[in-house]
Amino acid sequence: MSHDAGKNSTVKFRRRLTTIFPTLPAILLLGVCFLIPIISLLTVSFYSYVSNAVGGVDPSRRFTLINYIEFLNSRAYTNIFWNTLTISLISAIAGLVISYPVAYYLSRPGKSKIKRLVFLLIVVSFFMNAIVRLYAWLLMLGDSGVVNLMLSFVGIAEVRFLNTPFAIEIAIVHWTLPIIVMTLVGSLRNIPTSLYEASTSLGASSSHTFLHVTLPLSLPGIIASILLAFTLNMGAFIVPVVLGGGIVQMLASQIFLEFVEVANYPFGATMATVLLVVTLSASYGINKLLGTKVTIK
Amino acid sequence: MINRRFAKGVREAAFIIVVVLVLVFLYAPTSITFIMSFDPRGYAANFPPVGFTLKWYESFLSDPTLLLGLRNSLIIAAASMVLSLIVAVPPAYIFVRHSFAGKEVLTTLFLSPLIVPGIIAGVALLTFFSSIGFLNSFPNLIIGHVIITFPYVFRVVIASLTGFDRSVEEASLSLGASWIQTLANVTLPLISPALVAGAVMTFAVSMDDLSVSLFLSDTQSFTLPVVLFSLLRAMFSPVIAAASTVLMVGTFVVIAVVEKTVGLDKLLALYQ
Repeated sequence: MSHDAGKNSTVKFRRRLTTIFPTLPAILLLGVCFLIPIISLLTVSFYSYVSNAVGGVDPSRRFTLINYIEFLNSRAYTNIFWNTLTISLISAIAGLVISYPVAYYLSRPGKSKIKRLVFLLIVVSFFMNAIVRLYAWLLMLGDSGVVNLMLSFVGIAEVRFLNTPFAIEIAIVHWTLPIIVMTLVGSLRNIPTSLYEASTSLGASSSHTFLHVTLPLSLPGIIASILLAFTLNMGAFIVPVVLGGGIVQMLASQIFLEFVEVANYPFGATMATVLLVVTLSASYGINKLLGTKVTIK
Repeated sequence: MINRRFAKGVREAAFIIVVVLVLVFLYAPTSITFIMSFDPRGYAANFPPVGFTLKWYESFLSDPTLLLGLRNSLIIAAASMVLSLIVAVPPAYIFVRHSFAGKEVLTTLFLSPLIVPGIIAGVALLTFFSSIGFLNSFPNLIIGHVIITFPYVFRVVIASLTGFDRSVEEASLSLGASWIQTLANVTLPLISPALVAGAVMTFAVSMDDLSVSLFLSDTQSFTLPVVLFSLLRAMFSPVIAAASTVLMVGTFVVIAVVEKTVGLDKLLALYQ
């Protein structure tokens, strides 16, 4: 009997082992090389800056709130923070407004070759690399760029686009658009077709059906995609570094400069913590709304 | 009736116009980069081009720094693709087939690189590696790339395993095949489209990455996008257009292969 029980627990133990063992490398990788670095980043934000230390991190590692106090007290940094929120929100809403009709078109029942092609073109555009995009926007938005060339044809004088929030917003929307479309398509496809049929067969016009069936039912998807776009926009740093030209800064581009150019890790880590708190709160909202675990980049 | 049909026609036309405008918005800027990469004028030339030349592609292919960047990018992308598959596929299999305490927490951990902004991952790794004095850039870059690509493989394999009928595996086992034989001859072939999709996504993300690479590169170990980014900040040269176009065309070719073999829809498991 006891022998049997022993055998049973060995089997259990071996089964436990076969479940844990394949997961171990992943746990080690993400635990040691992702979770711990993020925690150490958060800790560095509580150390003071010493100019001749590695990364400017105080070697004595004494706890201080000085970076947070400096961040909150400096007009320049709070401005960057508000700029970041505004630019991210404007781009998220603009992205949604542009994406919704396309997502609606793609998610309507019925298959067609054109729909498939549109769908593929949108997915593929997601894979255009950042450098091609940045170079493109410099060509498009420069003082004698393509947009100004077109404006001159209709008699509008040269408009300054580069180094303005607008340049950053348009480039960000260009980047997040395919992701927003896909998120919306996912949520629109979840609406059962029978609801449209019921609405139409009861005599509702298609605009009535849209306003009273489709739109309310896709509301969680709409809010989720705004939040998703917002978190992506908050994290964008390459775009503001290049198209903001040092005049328009966002939190993420300022973090980049603090780490790469100033080598002030403690202050960079402070802004990174602020950024992380805002984006994680938004992601939490998405998970609550969609009931899923993830967002995508 | 005619009125209604007319209204429907107008609505259809409106949809088509909006969709076309969005596609123009998505593709026009990058097409202009592509066109300008053949412009013979040097720095800061504006659209439209005044001629046709391949000299920017030639200077890309004869620039040792850019070529080293390309070589590094390819090695790092290939290494992180293989490593991501090795590290992410087994846990994905276990997570679908077994339930155990702590699975929820681990899932969150495994997918967290998608939720945390890329720049945070980049600076966190930089801070971490510099604090432990691990300053060997090449391995650091590979570790960074495996971390940001891991969730794609993990998720696409989970989606694929959840979708297929488990009785096929059970049939194989009850007919006397060992679990290794079942895994190799039944399960892996069934999820191979997902593996292809995950591998391609990993490769593409790694080849284009800047968010982690910018922080982990040094003067010897740097990727092509990192060199191009610093060039772009310093000057506006058509070489950048040529090199980034090559990079983009490479990605598109790989995606076309995916579409022809397993179908791009597989990649969409990554979107939901």
